[in-house]
Amino acid sequence: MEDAIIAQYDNYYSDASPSPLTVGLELNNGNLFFVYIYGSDVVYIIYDSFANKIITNVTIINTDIAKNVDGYNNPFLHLLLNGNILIQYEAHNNGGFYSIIDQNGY
Amino acid sequence: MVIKGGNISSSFNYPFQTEVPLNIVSTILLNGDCIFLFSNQSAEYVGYLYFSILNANGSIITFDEFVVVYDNTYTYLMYSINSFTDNTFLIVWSTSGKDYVEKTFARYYNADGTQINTNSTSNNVNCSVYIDNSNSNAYIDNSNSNISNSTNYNSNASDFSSQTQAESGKKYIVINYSLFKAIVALGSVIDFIMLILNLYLIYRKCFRGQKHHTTVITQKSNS
Repeated sequence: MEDAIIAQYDNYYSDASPSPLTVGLELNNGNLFFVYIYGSDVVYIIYDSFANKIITNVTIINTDIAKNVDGYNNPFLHLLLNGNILIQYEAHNNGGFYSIIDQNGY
Repeated sequence: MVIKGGNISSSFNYPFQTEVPLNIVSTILLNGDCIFLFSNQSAEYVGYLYFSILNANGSIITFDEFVVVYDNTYTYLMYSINSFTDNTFLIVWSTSGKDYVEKTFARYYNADGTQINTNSTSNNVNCSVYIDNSNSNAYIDNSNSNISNSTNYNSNASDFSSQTQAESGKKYIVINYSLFKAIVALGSVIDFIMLILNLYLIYRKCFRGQKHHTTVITQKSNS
């Protein structure tokens, strides 16, 4: 299997921090779940490990993100007992946040 | 699809220092709750360690539960969290003072965030914790200690029952979980004994009062 590109951006933020900041885990159905942070974007991707392709690519949008101006960092993932995914991340100067993603990702 | 989301640390009432990360660490309990542990450092270099509890339904039920404050006496704060199979969890943090003496503290909590034990301390250890539920031990990783001869550190708290070298090149302080439970159980027994004693004293007071009242009535009848 060839390496698969999860996230690829230009170097717009490269002076500020390594980006994109990416973490991942394996879902119960064998697919891979990734979240990456690029500046003020928090994006999750579901990668079909059998078809070798990205099947979901969603930018998380909630009111908390709108408050932030400096972007996010330090993402971390938990696979919850019910199969859903917990994303934790933090803003540079605005505290910590969590988002729970449905296990199907849609 | 995002089912739920929000703030982990929304109720801070002091200013955040810009660019100081919270360094959130977390653990998932078997009941589905998640404990977020994080720190903050103010402009005066006073640091705070807090945890928040996210329940299995995705709602924060405990915001910013205070763990410890440290001031510029300490040069850094490191911390870790892990949980046992009975949904209790252990918070470990490590600080280094101006005298370069490292100390690690451990505190043990119920699933609802109530504290079980008082602080336990040990010198010269670092701060990541691994919990082995098969033998009820918590292992605090000492592999990154600044102390060159790590065999010199002492376990000076009663619940740091032993220390061992679990892996080549790494030292661990072992917290015996059973001893934590024994201490908690002993506290419960003492509480129970005190309750029985108090009930007995109340009963005795009432009994004496009734007897005295009966005596008075008898005297009136005789007169």
